[in-house]
Amino acid sequence: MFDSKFAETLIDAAMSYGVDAAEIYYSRSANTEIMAVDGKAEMVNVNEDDGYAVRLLKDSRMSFGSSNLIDKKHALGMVRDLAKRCELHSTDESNVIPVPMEADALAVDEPFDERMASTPLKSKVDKLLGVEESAKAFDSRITGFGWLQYGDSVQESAVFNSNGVVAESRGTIVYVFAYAIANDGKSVQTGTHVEASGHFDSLDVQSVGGTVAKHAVRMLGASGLKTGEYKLVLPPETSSAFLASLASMLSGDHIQKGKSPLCGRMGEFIASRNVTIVDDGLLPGGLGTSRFDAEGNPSRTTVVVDEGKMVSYLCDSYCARKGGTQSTGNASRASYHSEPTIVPTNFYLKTSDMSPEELISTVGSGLYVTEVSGLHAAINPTTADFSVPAKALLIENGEIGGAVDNLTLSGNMLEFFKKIESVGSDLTWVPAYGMIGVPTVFVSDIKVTGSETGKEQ
Amino acid sequence: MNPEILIKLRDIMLEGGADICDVFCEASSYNGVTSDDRKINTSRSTQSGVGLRAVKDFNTYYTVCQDTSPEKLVEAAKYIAAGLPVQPSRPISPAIINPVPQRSSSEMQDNPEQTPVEEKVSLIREAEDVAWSYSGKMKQVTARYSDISREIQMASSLFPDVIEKRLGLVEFMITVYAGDTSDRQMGWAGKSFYSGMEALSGTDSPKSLATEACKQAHIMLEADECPRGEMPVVFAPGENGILFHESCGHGMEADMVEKGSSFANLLGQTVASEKVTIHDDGTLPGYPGSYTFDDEGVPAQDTLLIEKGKLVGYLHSLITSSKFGVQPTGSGRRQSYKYPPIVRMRNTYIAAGKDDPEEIIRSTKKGIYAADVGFGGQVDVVTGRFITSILLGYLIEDGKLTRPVKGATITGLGIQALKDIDMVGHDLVLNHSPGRCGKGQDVPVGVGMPTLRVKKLTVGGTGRSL
Repeated sequence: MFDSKFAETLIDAAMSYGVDAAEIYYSRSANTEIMAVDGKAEMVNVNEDDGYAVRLLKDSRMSFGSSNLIDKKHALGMVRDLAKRCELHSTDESNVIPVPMEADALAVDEPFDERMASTPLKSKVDKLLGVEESAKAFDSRITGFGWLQYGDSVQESAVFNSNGVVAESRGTIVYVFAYAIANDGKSVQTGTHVEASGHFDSLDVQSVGGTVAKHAVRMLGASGLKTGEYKLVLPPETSSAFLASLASMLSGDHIQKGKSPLCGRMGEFIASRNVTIVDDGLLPGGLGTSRFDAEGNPSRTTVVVDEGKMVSYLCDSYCARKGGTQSTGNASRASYHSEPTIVPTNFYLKTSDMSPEELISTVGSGLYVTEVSGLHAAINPTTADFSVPAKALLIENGEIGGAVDNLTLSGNMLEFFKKIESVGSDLTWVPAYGMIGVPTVFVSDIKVTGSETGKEQ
Repeated sequence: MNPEILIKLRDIMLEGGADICDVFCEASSYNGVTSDDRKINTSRSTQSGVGLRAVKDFNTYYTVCQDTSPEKLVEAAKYIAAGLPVQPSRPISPAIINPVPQRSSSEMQDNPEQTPVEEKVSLIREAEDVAWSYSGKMKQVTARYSDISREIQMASSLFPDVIEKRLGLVEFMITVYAGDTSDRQMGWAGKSFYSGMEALSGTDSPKSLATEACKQAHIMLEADECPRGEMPVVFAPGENGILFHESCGHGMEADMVEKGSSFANLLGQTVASEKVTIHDDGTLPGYPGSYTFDDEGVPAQDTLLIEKGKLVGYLHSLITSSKFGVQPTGSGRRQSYKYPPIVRMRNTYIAAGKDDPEEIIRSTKKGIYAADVGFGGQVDVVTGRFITSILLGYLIEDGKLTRPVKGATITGLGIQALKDIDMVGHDLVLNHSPGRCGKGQDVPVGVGMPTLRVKKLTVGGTGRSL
């Protein structure tokens, strides 16, 4: 797939400068991005992006460089410079370039649509315009879109290193991001929805259009709410934001460097007994499934939280070495210009067999939280305190009722996970920080600040 | 690259029927030094490529070529030309664009490209030392120096010759964590300049910024939980301008106006208190949103958005200005050759008012002084609803700053917040913000504001009601 000769030449050159190990990472992607407005494709961007990165290890010092100039002379010059730069860097016994590991991962099917690359642009434009059409057909109060975007990408990557790792991986992804505007002449509300798939044909326009329309329209006529503590039901579109934040706190890098509130909490109960969380890079059909991670380590299945107890965290090979464990296969690179960082693969909260309707009926009265905006900006990364604006529907007598907005939910993330009373059966995948899989969840007693004046409940 | 090739590519797209077209050729390099967990590392990257754009009937057709051989480039231009719909050309933009100067370069004395990497390492080492030795409570320090150099050549259907600009950005940012196992707090500081390395000196030196970040983290350790409820909020000058960038600026970008932002259909109307004047200025030398001409070749300008409370303009690219029948404002920007230009902010600030900053605090009986709202938060541009966190604040009690408070968020509606501004200080501070503004593409922007008071905002804290 890639020119392994080019990699070999660079690795040989590096070794001749006396480094202990050398790694070449290649990536190649072909991408299409389309923005639509008022039934027209307003912008089409068709592009390719190829490049490579070099990591060299010498006396426990690592250096990193990257380029998109696939030119031997330029690349060799960079390798020479990087070998010299190692001296300037701090020694770190945890620095490592991986050695080959035994794995079952080779048998895994990566999400790949052979036809994506040859799908005509017109079909992609039609798919996007179909979202707008189906949203307007779903409800006539949908007046337009603040943002309507289609994207797809065919990605291939490979890691070659001097320890004998040869790891090739590939994947396709297609997504639509929609931000719809609903107007009933009295009020304006917005709703968002993002949906991703590994296969062009599996991305269902009707479903995306209907969902985003529903998200916007259900909030029309929203009123205020009295401040108080409420029982909350969070469907996947909002519970996913909370799980993504927890995933970030479970990054080995954040934990080992004391940047996570979960630092030093291994083996403790950090969530209620209803919470079991797994990161599964081998999940059949998962969009985060791959054979290897971005350092060439095989993907794995890792139970992170077992019935409330924190039993492991996500690692790349650096963190694994530092923590005296094995890599969990969570190294990721946003592009060849990025050094590996820890990102979840398919990170999900295990479901029960209770349907969301049953779950809502057990709650009796509370709030069905339809939107939380910008949780990542609203959370203190060291203390896990959050205070986030939200919209909701009232739950009365076990049924969903009218809309309320201008709410602020506040509390502490770890307390939030301890207050999870039950989880539903409706596992839904949301592309966020890796792929995040969540069902509807019921959380007791969260502080909600509303805009309606009056006494607290 | 040979300018003749760029001209040829432009002409292929023009002959294909483009209303506007341009060829954006870029070669960039990045050099970084980090200190994380007491480990210093450097990194480097280089990137180059050509972005080709044709606009027909206001729709954009874009492709990228990173193989810059003339054959491949011609193939890409022909691909674009062949994809353009066959229909008569549309007259574009009333503006006569004549970019001056044709060649420009960021002003700098110490060119980072000619500075040995050892010197950059020692800047980071000094900052790291200052931070780690600030107190016994320091838990973690992450610092980054970076310099980015971009050489850009452009050919466009709007002017005859190839124009060139060279942008050199130097940046420093530090995040520190202090505390113990029961309470850990973060502090940060950073600066970004279109300049040489000489900009990172004095109060903007890595050492000074490290001290500032440590100081902030330690104040936070002493801080109480922020009270919640509706209350007056006084904003400290400078970096807090990010709040108005988010809550109002995005809604005044013409492409968002077109999609029904909360500022649509309000030109000439009162959208803010008469004490409020807002500029978006791309001409302030060295600030991170400044340039001689934008990424469509339109000269930068100082654009007045709100004048004494009245909405007087929007930010425009070539496409939006043609649609609206106005002049472009030089606001068409791209992250790199990989992206078509879209409407973006530059250095957005609230102009100085007449109030005495101390009097603003003195006349506030009970409220919050927001010293640092952090990284900007998020806005729904249609409804205008925004959220931002107060990283560090102080209680105002009987006209005096008393205890530090933390852990709060502010939410509100952009236009309502602008109308509720009842005092504006004379102490305008413009900031060399180190962050990026994201809108599908990340670009450097600057922000600024004087001390000002919003008489009522919703503060969502974890503490008690005020």
